[in-house]
Amino acid sequence: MTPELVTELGSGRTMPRQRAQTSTWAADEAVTRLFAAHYRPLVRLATLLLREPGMAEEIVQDAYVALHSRWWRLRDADKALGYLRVTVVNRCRSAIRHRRVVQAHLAAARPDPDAPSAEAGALDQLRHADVITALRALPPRQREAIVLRYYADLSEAQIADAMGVSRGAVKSHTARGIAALRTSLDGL
Amino acid sequence: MDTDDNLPGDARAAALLRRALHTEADRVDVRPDGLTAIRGKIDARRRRRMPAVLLGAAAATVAASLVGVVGCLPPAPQPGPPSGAASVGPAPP
Repeated sequence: MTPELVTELGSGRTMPRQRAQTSTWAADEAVTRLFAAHYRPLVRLATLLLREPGMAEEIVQDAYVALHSRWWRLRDADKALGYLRVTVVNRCRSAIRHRRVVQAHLAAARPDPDAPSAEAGALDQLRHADVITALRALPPRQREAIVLRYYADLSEAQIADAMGVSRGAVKSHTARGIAALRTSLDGL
Repeated sequence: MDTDDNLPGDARAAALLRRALHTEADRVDVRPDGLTAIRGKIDARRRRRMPAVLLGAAAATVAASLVGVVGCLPPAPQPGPPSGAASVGPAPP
């Protein structure tokens, strides 16, 4: 019988489904195995949402700790990945909200450290930087929808689960995000 | 996946976004000690919860002991008619 396949986050590669074995994993083993399979792409996903790699790693690590305490209820690699994704997206959203509150209280405006300089180098790097800069300027929900779709390669249903919204809302966020990026993308 | 990527403009935008996002993601250096950090946090959480767990176990033990002790006690005497003066029936002539 052909084994069912699941898609690895961020790479588009497929792997054999591990449902049969995962039900027997202890929480510690589950964390170890899910770390090997998904930690790096989840950190990258969180970094794309947050812009702060250090905080992104903290958030992903905390998501694994939360997974460990709930493993007795999940006991399934697919559910666990879904749980990790939802936790990471929600915590990134909270962190962004918190950061905005903090920044609103800062009197002095800081220059954006990641803003591309005029001497940024090759044209490709400028184009890439423009896209990323435009993406970062999007409202959080639109950015989440676009990152989950175009980086994590998730379906609309999976994005809806990860964001805790309906599929219609995913379509709406994605379309609005793309429309907002259009100005940057059309010039490239 | 439900996408509109087959439209010319959207396909181009999608390709550009995918490339930019993957290039940006590949720049992220992931620390090699992530699993150690996670295990440390799990252990710290266990230690924080240990007093509550011990307290709960102690309370459960005490409760179980009380139930056992109460179960072993002889049944309480049933309240009956007071002895002596409570004779019922006609008085002797």
